[in-house]
Amino acid sequence: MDELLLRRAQNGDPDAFGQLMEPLEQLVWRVCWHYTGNREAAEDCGQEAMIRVWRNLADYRGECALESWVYRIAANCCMDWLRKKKRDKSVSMEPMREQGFDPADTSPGTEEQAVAKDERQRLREAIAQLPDDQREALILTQLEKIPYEEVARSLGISEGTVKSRVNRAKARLKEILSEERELSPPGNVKKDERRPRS
Amino acid sequence: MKDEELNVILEQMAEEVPPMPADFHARWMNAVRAEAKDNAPAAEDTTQRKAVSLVRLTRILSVAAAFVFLVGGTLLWRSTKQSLSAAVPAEKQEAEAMTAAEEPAVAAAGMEAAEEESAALYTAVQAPVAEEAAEAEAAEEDLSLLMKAAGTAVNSFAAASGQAAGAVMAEEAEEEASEADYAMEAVFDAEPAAPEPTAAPTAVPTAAPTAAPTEAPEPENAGFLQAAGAFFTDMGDFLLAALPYLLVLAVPAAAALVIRRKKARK
Repeated sequence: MDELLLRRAQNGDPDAFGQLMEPLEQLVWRVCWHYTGNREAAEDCGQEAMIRVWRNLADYRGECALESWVYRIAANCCMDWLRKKKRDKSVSMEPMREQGFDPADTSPGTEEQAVAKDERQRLREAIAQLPDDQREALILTQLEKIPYEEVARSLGISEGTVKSRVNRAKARLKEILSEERELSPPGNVKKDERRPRS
Repeated sequence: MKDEELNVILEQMAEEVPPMPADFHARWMNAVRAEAKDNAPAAEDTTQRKAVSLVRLTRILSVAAAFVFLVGGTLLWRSTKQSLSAAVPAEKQEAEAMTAAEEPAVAAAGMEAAEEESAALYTAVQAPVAEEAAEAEAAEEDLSLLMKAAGTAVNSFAAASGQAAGAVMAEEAEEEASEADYAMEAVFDAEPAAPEPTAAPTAVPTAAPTAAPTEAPEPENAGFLQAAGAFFTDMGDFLLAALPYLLVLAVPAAAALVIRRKKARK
């Protein structure tokens, strides 16, 4: 990270900020996607996260890596969005499903792939039901592949606490998915019932 | 569900991320620029106001520190000087009193010694002269006796010769006497001048030792202007005394200022 660029961005230079954040916008997008599972929501949260980074950049003192600090802001934006969604309506993933979760794989695929896709969707929904601290730890370590040490430093907690939260999150996810499997086993999705892609 | 199964799903989720929207970058950059434009005057005002107040505060503190340094330093300087000057006059008076008491005695002793020497010289010169004079008289007496004993006939010749001899001897005696006189005069002339009483100080010790010069008049008795003048005089003395220390502090401060300005220019 260029110190001079950071200093200029902290002093209010938008062009310097653009140069500084360009390598990190992909990371912001990924985090917002993993949190929301929704393209539009991820875009909104991503924009909000970048604006918040710009407003609070003067407070960054270098205690942790800039990437970790930006991750934190993006995660907070997404959690605010999730809380707002929960407040507005009861937790229902139907609207999110209708908007489409994963247009990444556009190939028709086999039934196994469809089942796997369905599993992933369920997992995303389960992740959305986790407590905030467990969700955050799980996404940053398991989905974004950030080292435990770095996550601990950015969250201001110990590495052991991060691992503990991740383990509890996984345990909770297994419970949720096991319950859902009992209620509606996988493989029930038929080809003609695939969700429309946005 | 097993851990391995969950981990597999999580791995798949990690890889399955849709591409970032094409206008994602442009949207947030526009938002940032708009916000920067809106906040620029307010931020500048705040920054300028903060800078102005900081500069003002720094100036006030600098003036206060300089005032404390000058006034406090001057007062300390004055008290130190007064205590020192009170100690010095007492010592000086003692020393001068001792000197004044000793010098007359020394002068008198010198005069006595000189007189003794001159007397000894006089005696030493006069003794042989006196002896010669006495011998000359004795010789004349002897001659006159001889002349009487020899008779008149012979007296005339003998007297003449005796007289001549006596005259010669008298002359010789007179010459010797005159030489003795000359010698005496020479001795008197050669006598060292008696040591004049040195310009010794008077028996009374010198008056009022010149103690600490320019002692400030008692502010109690002087008027306000005099007191102020004395204070500023002491302040000047204090600054002169403190000048070396100030220079020692000023050099690194000036260097730091130069370096700071160079950095600011860069």
